[in-house]
Amino acid sequence: MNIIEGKKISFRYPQGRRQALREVSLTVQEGEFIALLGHNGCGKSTLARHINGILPLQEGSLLVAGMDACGKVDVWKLRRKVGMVFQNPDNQFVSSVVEDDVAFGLENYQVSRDVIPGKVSEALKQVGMEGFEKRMVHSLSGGQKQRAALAGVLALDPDIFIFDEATAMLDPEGRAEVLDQIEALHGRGRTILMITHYVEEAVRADRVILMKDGEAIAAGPPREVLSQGDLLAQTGLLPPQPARVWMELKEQGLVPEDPEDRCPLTEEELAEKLCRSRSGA
Amino acid sequence: MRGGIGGITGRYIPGDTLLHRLDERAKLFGFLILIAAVIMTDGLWGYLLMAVFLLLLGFVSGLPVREAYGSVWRLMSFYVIVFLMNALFFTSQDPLWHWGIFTLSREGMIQGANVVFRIAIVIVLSNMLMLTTSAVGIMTALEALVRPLKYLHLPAEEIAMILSIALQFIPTLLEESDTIRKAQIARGARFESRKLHEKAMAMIPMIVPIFLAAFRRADELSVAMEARGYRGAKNRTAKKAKGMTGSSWAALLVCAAICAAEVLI
Repeated sequence: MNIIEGKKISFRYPQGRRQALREVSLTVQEGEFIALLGHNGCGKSTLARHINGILPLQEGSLLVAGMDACGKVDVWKLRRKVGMVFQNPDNQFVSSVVEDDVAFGLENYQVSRDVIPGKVSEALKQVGMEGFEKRMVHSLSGGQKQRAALAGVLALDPDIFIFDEATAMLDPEGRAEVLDQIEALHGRGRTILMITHYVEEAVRADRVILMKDGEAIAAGPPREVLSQGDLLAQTGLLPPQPARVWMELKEQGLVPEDPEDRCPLTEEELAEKLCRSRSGA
Repeated sequence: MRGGIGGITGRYIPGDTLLHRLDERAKLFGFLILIAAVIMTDGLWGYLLMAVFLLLLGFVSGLPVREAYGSVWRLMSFYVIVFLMNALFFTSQDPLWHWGIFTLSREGMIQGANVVFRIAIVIVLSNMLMLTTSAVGIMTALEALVRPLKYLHLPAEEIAMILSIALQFIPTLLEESDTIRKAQIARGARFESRKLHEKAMAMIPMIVPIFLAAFRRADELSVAMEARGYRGAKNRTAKKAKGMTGSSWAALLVCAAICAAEVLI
């Protein structure tokens, strides 16, 4: 069942010289993990902000969780269905104490004061931050801040989670923390839309949508999209490191031709293929 | 941020002391009463009473001495300027020294010292309020404070939310200005110059990036708030104040007593 169905979405910012989105169409199924990949300014975040109702639809049609985003949609109800975690962890906290910030969304939806503490604790538990209720936001690491921001979204129990370059400002440890949380959410059957310009992160998705200059230029499973060096080069991106190593080895004739020719996208896959080719030789 | 002027409006330090446990509204109203008391403070005994009170307040707050009082020393150059402005431009019938537009007098120096002491006391009081009250607590108290504005059809809840977020962002912006300052120093700016005009000129290239950063932050925060269903402060689950216990009323009485004593001294 499609949870997001967008057709020919176009958008131009009021002072924008060019179209931020040009007839973008996308479908996302319930429980699917989509990576929206592309360089900065290609329209990924603009598209995501339509799904959450932050930006109004100018052209095209968009159906999100059964709600028609192009009609007179109640954006307040739409935002309850679509939670967003943003790029800069410091610019999305409304309160300085973790539990108060996680409660912010619940208060906006007029959840009873008696119910809020339980929901806050449950959300923090889900992101592995039990005991952080009274901690100051500024005392958290980057990864912890993003997990706390995710807890604020989780507390509202939305159908769709959008991560708008949520790992871009984090160190490798923080990135791993957030990516683990995203995978755990996906494992629990949640629909994920991850916006990123890191091809290594997109590898984890079920499907990758590649964007360039406001257009979706390719979509498909990561192996299909991310192993096409020429296609990625159009957007200024490179295939994942293991894929590049494998392509180089193939070009040098150092590995035998594989009839399946599945390009490795992760280090584990590369190691496995190298071991297999070595034992074959 | 612990250096520079970052400690003027300190960040909340969680705790379970008497000052932390007081109702937020009592703390804010008590703070306002004390501001009135500071305005009334004059003479040695008046300042002595205030100093003893601030020491007791620091003890009750359980805050480290550096956090509670450290912010006072960070504005030393500001105090010097304020003192000199008062001391050298006070119109006196009995000047001690006169040169061009400058007139040094005993009354001017007393007025300068009064202004400096009052500023320092207000800084310590506001610091203690901020360090012992969470952002939500401040917002709850501000909501109570601005509630009468509703009768004038003004958006009281929104005003409280704006003030609360603004207060919370001050330390963040100070941190950012410190980063910008260091970046400017790395590119040759001379903030350490003792000459006032050089210092002032060096500040100019800092102003634009600080403003840009503040606007960017405000924009990103407003989008994040909207994304989490914010549609105005009045359509939210009401905040629950801690409750006016006996100690909260007692704290208000103490503040009123200090104010009365400062009037009488």
